[in-house]
Amino acid sequence: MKTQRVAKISEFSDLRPIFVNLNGTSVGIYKFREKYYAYANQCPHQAGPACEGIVIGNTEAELLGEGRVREFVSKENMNIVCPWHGVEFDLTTGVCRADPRYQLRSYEVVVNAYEVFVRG
Amino acid sequence: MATSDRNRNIFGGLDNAVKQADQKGLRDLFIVDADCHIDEPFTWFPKYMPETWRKKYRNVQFSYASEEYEQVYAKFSATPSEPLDPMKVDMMNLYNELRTLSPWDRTMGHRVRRPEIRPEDDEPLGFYEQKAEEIVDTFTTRMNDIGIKRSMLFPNQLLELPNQPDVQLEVEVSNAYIDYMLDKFLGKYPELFTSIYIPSSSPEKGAELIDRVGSEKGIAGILISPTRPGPLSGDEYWNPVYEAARKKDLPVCFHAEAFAYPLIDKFNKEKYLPIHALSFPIPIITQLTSIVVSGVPERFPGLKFVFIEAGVSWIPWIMYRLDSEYLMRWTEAPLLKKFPSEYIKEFYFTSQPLERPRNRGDMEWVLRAFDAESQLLYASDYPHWDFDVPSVIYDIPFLSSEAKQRILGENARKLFRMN
Repeated sequence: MKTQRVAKISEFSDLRPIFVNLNGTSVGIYKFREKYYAYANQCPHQAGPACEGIVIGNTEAELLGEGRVREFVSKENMNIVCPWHGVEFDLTTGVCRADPRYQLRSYEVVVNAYEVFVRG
Repeated sequence: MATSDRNRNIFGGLDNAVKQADQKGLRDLFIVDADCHIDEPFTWFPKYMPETWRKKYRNVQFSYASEEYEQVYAKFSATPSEPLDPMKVDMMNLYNELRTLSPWDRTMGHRVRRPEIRPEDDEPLGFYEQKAEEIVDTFTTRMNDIGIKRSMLFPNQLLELPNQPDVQLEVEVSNAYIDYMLDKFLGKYPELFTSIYIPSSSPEKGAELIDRVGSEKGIAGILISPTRPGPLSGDEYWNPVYEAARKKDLPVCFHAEAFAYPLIDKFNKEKYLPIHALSFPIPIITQLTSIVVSGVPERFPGLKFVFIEAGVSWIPWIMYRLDSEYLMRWTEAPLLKKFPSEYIKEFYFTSQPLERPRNRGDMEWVLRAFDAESQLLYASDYPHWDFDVPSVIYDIPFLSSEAKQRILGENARKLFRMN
């Protein structure tokens, strides 16, 4: 198990990953609403660089009654989108929205008063 | 940025596919990509046309107007090439506005962001014209990096050509396209091959074109649009083309596209997912059925057929369907000497976009149904949004090493006579 320094807390901005090389694997570390998440930069679909894609609100739909539907993009539930094919993963879990059998490999993130570290 | 750097160390680029090639030893194999695309530079084509056609040709618009995309993005204080801040931009409305310009928003409202689809320079959504040196670099160097040794290049906007009404224009452009390819690539780079685009409006002119260039180096097939207006592929209308292709031993390729799919308007409201799912295989199934039932393999013995970019899971379905119909109505197909499925098993199919059934074992049954080991050709469809890297075939668990090598390259090498 290796602990790798990522960056100062102040260097993070929400939803913009910072990348480190952890044991030869590119890992993207995200901050969103004071929490941190780390994932291997490799999509389980076709190995695309998932963390190099955009982070975007999950597209959701609600039933309005009488068969009518309203679609909207969530500002609470965020997704990492693989730039190769558009496969979307829950930012907070790494689980694929369409098929939970696909998951981004996740890593533990450790934060002290000033800095962010990733372990793996 | 130099074009040769476009995919390298760039966000969303192919570096992970290069790593895969390293890990799996893909460069030790002979991998042929049976379907990949260039963005053919239309502004070059007039150079290869008779003087009388040049002026008229310049007024033809094939591409989506990129300025309209810029205007939509501007409404949201964004640009197509900059990352969007999803907390500030109303993505739902942006997506809906983009879809008013085209129902075929392959990027899903900015989500698919590979550099080839959305170049990082000033190219907005939509199509652009590749420079010849970029085409050479991509398909001789970068594709080799990910394990591909030979590339069957197909055009992009040219696939839309049968649906414009000007017959002579289609003839002139089909000649200009192949002359451009011969001038710039074919025979000059051993990695690069293409097919002769056949003008759907004039089989006789298509046959003349095959006669003229069919023996040139790098010409590996002929290309017929499956969504064109006019007679189906089993009609005698196509006899001159088939005869010319047979004489040159060039496979007849049908490349799927969505442009003229009759249900597009009805499906627009439901976004691109159903259009893409249906519009590619259905015209291919239609042309294949016409070829089989009309006995084209009996009329032109030895002529080979390739069906491109429709996936594979429908193949057993049409085999069973036609066999059942044939059993009851064989009087309507008197030329056939065997069941329709037996002709279909002699056709070739490209793999992309290879379906991913939830029960992965189902694919073993599908591939066995049409003798995939000898009839399936790996294809990437690069750089399009649903491209498949070679590991899509390489990682199929139930295929033997020999079967993988045949599907990844040996079948295509033999079919297209690539050395």
